[in-house]
Amino acid sequence: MQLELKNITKSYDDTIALNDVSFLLEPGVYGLLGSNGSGKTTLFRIISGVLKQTTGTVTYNQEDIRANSDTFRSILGFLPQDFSYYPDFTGMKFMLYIAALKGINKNFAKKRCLELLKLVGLEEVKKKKIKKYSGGMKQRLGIAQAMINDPEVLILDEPTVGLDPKERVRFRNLISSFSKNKIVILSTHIVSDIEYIADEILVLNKGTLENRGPSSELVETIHGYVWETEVENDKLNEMLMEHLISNQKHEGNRTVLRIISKDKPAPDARQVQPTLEDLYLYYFREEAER
Amino acid sequence: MKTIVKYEMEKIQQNKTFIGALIISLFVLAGILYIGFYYAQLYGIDRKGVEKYHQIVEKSTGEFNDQRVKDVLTNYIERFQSDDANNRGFDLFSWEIANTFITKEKDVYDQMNNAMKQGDKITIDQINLKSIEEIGFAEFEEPLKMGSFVTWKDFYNVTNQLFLLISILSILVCCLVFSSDTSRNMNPLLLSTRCGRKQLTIAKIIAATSISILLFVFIHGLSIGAFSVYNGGFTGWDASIQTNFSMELFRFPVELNQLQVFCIAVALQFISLLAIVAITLYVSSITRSPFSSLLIAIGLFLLPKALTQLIKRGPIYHLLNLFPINNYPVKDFLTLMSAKKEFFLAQFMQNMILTMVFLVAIAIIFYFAVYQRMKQYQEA
Repeated sequence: MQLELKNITKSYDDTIALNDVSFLLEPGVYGLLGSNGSGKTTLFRIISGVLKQTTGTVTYNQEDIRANSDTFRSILGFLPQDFSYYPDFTGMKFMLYIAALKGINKNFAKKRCLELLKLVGLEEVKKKKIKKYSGGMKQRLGIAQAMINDPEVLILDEPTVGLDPKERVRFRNLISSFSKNKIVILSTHIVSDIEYIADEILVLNKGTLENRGPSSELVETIHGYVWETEVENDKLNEMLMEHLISNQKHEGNRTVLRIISKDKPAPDARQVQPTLEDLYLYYFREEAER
Repeated sequence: MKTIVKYEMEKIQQNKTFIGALIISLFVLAGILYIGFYYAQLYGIDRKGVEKYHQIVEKSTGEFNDQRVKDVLTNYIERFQSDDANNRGFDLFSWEIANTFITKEKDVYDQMNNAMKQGDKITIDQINLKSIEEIGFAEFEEPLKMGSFVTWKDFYNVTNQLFLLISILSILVCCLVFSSDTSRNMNPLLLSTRCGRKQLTIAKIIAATSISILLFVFIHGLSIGAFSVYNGGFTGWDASIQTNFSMELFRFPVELNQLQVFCIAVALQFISLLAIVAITLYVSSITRSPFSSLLIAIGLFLLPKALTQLIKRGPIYHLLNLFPINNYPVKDFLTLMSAKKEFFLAQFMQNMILTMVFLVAIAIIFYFAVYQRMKQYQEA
C-alpha cells in the first residue's frame, strides 16, 4: 500500500501554491504541518482528486489516481475543511447519504453508521437535525463520515478544529485505533495533536515540502536553537522585538523567555530541549511574527 | 441509485428557497385559476352567465355552416331586442360570432337600439352577413364543427399563464441542485466519494427533472379539474379550432379540434420544460451560488423574447421562435408555426415536430453537458 506524489506543482496565474512536492507514504499516520496558505488544503484536494495539479502525478500502488479515479475514490475517506452540512438532515441521515454515495449496501451502511456515530459520541443525537449540532459535534460527524467505507487512505483536513480537549483525546484514540494498515494524513494547527499520534510529520512551507520525519527526529533538527533566559520586565519589549519568542512566563518583576535562535540570545541564556511547537515556530516564524 | 435520488429529492424539498417559492406559487396558481375561471368575463354581473352561456352553446353546437351562423345570430338579435337593456347579460358566445360575420358598414347594435326605441325590431334579413367562404375559413374533407369556445379560450389563457409559473418554479428548483452544494463547499466531500461524480450527477438530474414533472402534472391537473368545473365538463372539446372565434384562427390550415390543440400545447410545454430544466441544471453546475444561477437561468429563459424584439426576420428570427418563451402561448404557436415567414418550414405539423425535436435535442445536449461537467469537475 503506497501513496506517492511525484513532483506535484500547482500554480494559479502568477501564484505557486505547491512547488515540486514529492513524497511516498506507506501505512501509518502522517501529520501535515504548515501555516495558513502553506498549501495543505491544496495538497489534500489534489490527492482526493477534486483539484487538478499543474504538473506531476499522484499514484496509489503505482497506478495514477486520475486514470483510476473510480477505484481510488472507493478506498478514500476525506474530511474537507470548512464545508457546510445539510442543516435539515439528521446526523444519521447525513451518514446514510454519504454511505450511499460511497456505494455501501443499505443494510450494512445502517450498521456501520450507527457504529461510527457511537465511536465519535454522537449516538444520542443521531436523530437530531444537524442545525442543532455544536461546532464540535459537526466536526465529529465529519470525521465519522470519512470513515464509513473503512478507507485505505484517510485524509483529514483540520479535523480537530472546534473540538474541546476531551474531544481531541477521543479523536486521537480513534485515529490510533483506526490507522492499522491504513494511510492517514491529517493537518492541524494544533501541534500537540500531531505530536501524539503522527508516525511522521511533513513540514509544508509556502508550497514546498521542507522536511519530513518522525517528530523526535524533526525536533532534533533544531537542537541547540532553543534557549531559556530570564530578563527584567523593563527589558522585555527589547527582547520581544529582537527575538522569536516561543513562550514567556512572568515571575515577579522578571520574565522567563523561551527563545528560538541559532545564536545565544543573552549571556545567561541556557539551551533547552526543543519541542514540536518550537519546530513549528522555527519553520513558520514569519506567521508567528505577524 | 434509487437511494441517492431519494436523498437528492429530500435535499430539494427541505430547501427553504424551494419551500418559500412553492408557497408563493400556490397563491399565484390560485390567482390564475380564480381570475381565469371564476372571475371570468363569462360569469357576468349576476354570476349566472356561465349557465346562460351553456344554454346558448347547446343550441348552437353542430356542423359549422352559413345556416347555423344565421340561426345563432337570429337568436342573438332576437334575445338582444327582447331583453330589457338593464337586465341583458353579455352573450359573449354570440357576440364573437356576430363580430366575425356581421359586416362593419353599420353598427348593428346602434341599429337594434334605435329600432327598440321606436318600439320596433330589426330582423336578421336586414343585416348584412358575410359568408364562411368570404371570411376564408379553412376547408377540409369533413366540415368544421362549432361548439363552446369562450371557455376553451379561457382554458388556453390559463394554460399559457401556467407555463410561465411552472417554468419559473422549475428554474428555481433546478438552479439549487448543483450551485447549492458548491456554495456550501460540499463538492470536495461529495465528489471524492465513489458515486459522487457519475451516479450522484445522474441522481441530481433525475431528482430535479422528477420534481419539475411532478409540479407540471400537479399544476396542470388542478387546472384541468378547475376547467371541468367551470366548463361543466369538457363540452366543446370536439369543436374545430377554426371556429374558436375568440382566437380568430379561421384560416388555420390543420384540421384540429380544441382538445387536440390543448394536448399539443401541453406536449409542447412538457418538452419545453425538459429543455428549461436541462439548461438550468447546466447553469447550476457552472455557477457558485443559487442566486447567480437563478439570475442567469431566468435571463436565458427570457433572452429569446428580447432578441425577437430586435431581430424580426431571417434564420436567426426563425431560430429564436423555436425557444419556449416565443412559442408557449397557444395562439402564438398555432399562428407562428403555420406561417413560413415565421418558422423554418412551410407546414404547421412539420414546424411543430421540428420545434419538439429541437427542444428534445437541447434537453439531451444539456443533460449530457451537466453529466460531463460534474464527472470531470475540478475546483478552481
